Amino acid sequence: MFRLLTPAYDTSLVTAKASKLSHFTSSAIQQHLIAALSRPRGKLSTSQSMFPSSRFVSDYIAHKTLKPFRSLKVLGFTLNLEHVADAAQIDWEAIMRAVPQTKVVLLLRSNLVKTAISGYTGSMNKNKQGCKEANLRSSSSTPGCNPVSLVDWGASALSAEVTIWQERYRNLISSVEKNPFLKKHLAHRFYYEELQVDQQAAFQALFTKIGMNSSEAGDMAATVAANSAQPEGNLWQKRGSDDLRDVLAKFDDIESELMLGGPNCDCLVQQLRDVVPRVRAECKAIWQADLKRCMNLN
Amino acid sequence: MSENPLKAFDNANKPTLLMNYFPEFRKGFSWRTNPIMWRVSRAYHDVAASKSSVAMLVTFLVVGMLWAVYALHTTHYTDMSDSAHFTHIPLIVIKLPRSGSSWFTDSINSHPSVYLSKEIVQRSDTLWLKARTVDKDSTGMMHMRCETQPCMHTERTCACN
Repeated sequence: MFRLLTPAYDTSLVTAKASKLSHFTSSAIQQHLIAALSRPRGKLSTSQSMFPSSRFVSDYIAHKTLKPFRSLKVLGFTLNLEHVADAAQIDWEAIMRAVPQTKVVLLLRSNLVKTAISGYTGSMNKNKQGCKEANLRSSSSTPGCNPVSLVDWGASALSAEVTIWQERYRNLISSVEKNPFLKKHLAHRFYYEELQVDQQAAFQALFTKIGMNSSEAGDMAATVAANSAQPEGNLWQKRGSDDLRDVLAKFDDIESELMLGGPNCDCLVQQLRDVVPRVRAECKAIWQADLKRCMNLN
Repeated sequence: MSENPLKAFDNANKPTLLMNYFPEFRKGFSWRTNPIMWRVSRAYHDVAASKSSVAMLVTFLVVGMLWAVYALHTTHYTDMSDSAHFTHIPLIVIKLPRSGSSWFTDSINSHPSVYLSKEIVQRSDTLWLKARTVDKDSTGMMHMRCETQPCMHTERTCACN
């Protein structure tokens, strides 16, 4: 069973939305996922609507590259497994049987410290600071949106949030690895930091791992990188500084305290200090590390 | 009183110029004698009478065209729904929040031959949230609990099986 841990600052949102929930059966979810691997589909929530969702219109139907008139080479969806695993028991065997060529990619963020801070600032921006979304499209910046610029956490607050994210990632990875059908089709682990460092190389690796030949993968990655580099293609802006000294008000205190934790804390200290995006090979297994011992948490 | 010579010239040449541009007038064409054009003309005047009507008409046409493309395309892919005939690679990207997935999806979708549906299942689509509520204690601290069973919560978190 997939167990979910959610940061405490999300809970007011959970309560507020609980009364107007719509829900789908696991069978309906499953059918929608199979359909979305077979042909272009929008979100599950608009699957019963006569008209497509605005996101589907902007990303597919009315996309400037005229996708409806092209033959697609890659088709599918992104999925937060937390949104389906707890209630709806998705039959991955049935999905993989229906679409046996399916490739699965895990999108990960290796820096747990920055993930935890991003989780907090994103939630605060959306729920408390008057911003429309946790991630802001540059075009949708609204007056009155006052994003969090400084986080006043001490070492214990940071530690608590980091362990929550560690648990979430541990659950995600074990859900994929323990499911024989997801594991069999797992083609690649894609790190957010790799995308930050070299977008073209990251996408070339992705396209190669999912089965394209190297020249086709190279061409496609080059196109993606070129399109994303254009001003209108770069719709998302990163809000946080890559240097956490600019973000954590008590950076020095946190650093000193984590350094007292010894070898268990090495990866966290490195991730705290990193000012350029990187995936540290020695910290790839940070999901499994005993961080509670490092941070004196019981 | 003599007529202004310039005005007289204009009046004399107007019909000729008009017929140059609209040869139908030479053949005795009349908007009112052509039932189709007459109705189009009437409709145009009726619609043009209101800017909001024009806006509605344009919106309706755009939405209609988008819906038609959507319906046609859905039908096309339904016809080739047998996975043996796929020419594309079916891809599932599994992720957590705050992993850069919005940026990832927008970037990969910028390629003309790639389409990934962003976060296809949302939190509100499934049942699990209904099992959770949040209580505040006397100090204002929030505690989560599961309605169906005792919540195993630590100081800051809660897990509902």
